Amino acid sequence: MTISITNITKSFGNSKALDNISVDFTAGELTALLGPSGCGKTTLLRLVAGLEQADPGCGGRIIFNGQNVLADTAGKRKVGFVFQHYALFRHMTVFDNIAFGLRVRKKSQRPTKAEIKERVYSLLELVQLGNMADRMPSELSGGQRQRVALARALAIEPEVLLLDEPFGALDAKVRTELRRWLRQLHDKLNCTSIFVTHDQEEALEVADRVIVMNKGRIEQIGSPDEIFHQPASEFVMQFLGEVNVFHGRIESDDPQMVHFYDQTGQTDQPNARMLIRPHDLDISTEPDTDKRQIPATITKIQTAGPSVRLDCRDNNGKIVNVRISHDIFNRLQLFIGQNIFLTPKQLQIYRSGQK
Amino acid sequence: MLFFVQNKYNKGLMPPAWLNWTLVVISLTFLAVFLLLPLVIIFTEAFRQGMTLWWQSISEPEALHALKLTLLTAAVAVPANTIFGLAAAWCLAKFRFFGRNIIITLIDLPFAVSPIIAGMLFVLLFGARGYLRGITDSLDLQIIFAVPGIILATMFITFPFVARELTGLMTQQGSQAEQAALSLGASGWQTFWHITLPDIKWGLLYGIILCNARAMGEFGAVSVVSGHIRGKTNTLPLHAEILYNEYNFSAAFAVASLLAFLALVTLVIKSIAERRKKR
Repeated sequence: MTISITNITKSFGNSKALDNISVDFTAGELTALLGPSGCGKTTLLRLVAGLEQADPGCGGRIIFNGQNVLADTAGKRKVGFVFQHYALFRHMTVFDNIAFGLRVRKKSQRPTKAEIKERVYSLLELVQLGNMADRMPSELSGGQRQRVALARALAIEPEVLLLDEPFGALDAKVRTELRRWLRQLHDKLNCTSIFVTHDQEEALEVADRVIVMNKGRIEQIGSPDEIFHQPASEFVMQFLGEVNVFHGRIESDDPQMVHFYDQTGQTDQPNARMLIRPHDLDISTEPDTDKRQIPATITKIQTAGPSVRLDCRDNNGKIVNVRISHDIFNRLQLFIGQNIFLTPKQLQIYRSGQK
Repeated sequence: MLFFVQNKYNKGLMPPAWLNWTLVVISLTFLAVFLLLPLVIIFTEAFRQGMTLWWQSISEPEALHALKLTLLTAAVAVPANTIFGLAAAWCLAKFRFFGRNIIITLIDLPFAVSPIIAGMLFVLLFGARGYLRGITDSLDLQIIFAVPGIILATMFITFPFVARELTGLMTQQGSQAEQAALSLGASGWQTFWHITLPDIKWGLLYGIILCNARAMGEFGAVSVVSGHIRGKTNTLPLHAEILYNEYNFSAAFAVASLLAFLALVTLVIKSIAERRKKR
């Protein structure tokens, strides 16, 4: 099922949770809605599900396979929705939870008891909870509840699966396992799936496509690779991981001709911001006048972890984070208080403000 | 347990033993004097002159009528306030709207107002020179010094019990389960019967029981509007008072024991409901 959203605005009181959003979701893809809390990602998801209504005056449309469903109720849209805190029916067993969507159907469309039983057990098998049918939700762990919620949503055979922060409430280890499992499940199901997350790692690992949102607007849409390596805005760059921000001046039309403002005592105002990820800085112990270098002093070394993390201070006293491999660290024999020179391998330049 | 266990783990957290025991003794004495003793006295006084007299006192026509009227009042007031309470709690818990806080405050009004004032309010409305007398007269309806007045006053007094009990519970539960049910294709009624009601049933029962206890025991407001007409507008509490004022102590206590018995039954059901609600 393809989903196409055009010109949707949603306000809560005076604040706009979604500001004239237009976006398409390709059939069969797993899309992540990524952004900080309050950016409108959950609101967008709930609008697709029909749990939230768009502003009456916005003139927007939500189209499922060519049909405008904006006026349809949540039940009519046949969307599988998995809630952030699972929202399992506490007084029902796992079996009854999963069977609910089938049992409330009109008599003419309702499967027989035997069919319901078969469907529920095959779903339990799918979510790897085959022997849990008679448990109550309170007797399950967080990860198990999450999978029951998923099975319940899948019981109505939705063509669209929506997940609101599906792994938000789980501990780190379960989260990574479930994340991989969700990806496999999606490939098996042939569903159009959308999930909301504030964890960039999760979005990059699981999704086919990532939509980065901020303040009710879409900042960038792209594959995880595009989002990570070609961030469309400073916001996206900042949100997707640690960055060092330098001020500088674009002197000509060639954006590579940037001077680091902080270094050579220019009198002009800086007009650009340069963002460099900690792992995109090369370290050398000797100055090299051919290269654009930032002199700095090492103030802290943290070797515990897959790479070495250095806190450095540049000439202006600003802290610069650098990540290098253990190999390079050992070869250079770095120590605290040492003067070093940092060379950016890759940087993103954004013009700041007016000229 | 009532008595504190002292061990090496919580020594620092516990007060010294003498203080412990003093507090325990004070609380137990207080409980005994103010709660247990009156209950014991009611039953001993009721049966002092033997079972026969007790039975006569509660089976004479006026007492029976009072019992019937009390049950009738509860039978009208409790369901009415249950339905109202459910609707109000649903509205207040699941929606945010202008004036919500004012409604929450208004629901508590019957608790804040003295029952006597509540009774007088109905006299002012429906009494001899009441504001709404024109309407009730044209309908040929007697409210004050009649059964409708008693029921109205009782409804007013017991108004908040169910609504208050459920508003908190339903707010705390949120509406995610209902939204899940709706997204799975359930209709509004299906959602209410299968999702909302099972989730609140013990809280609802608890509210109904409290409401019922007060409906049967209400004295002040009913006393003002009833007129104390024997065999006509006397409820059990009013009947007990009349007997007492006539120095007919055994009969008064016999009627009181009946009320106390109803209250005890209510309390037992209440504690069961409370335990289930917590699960």
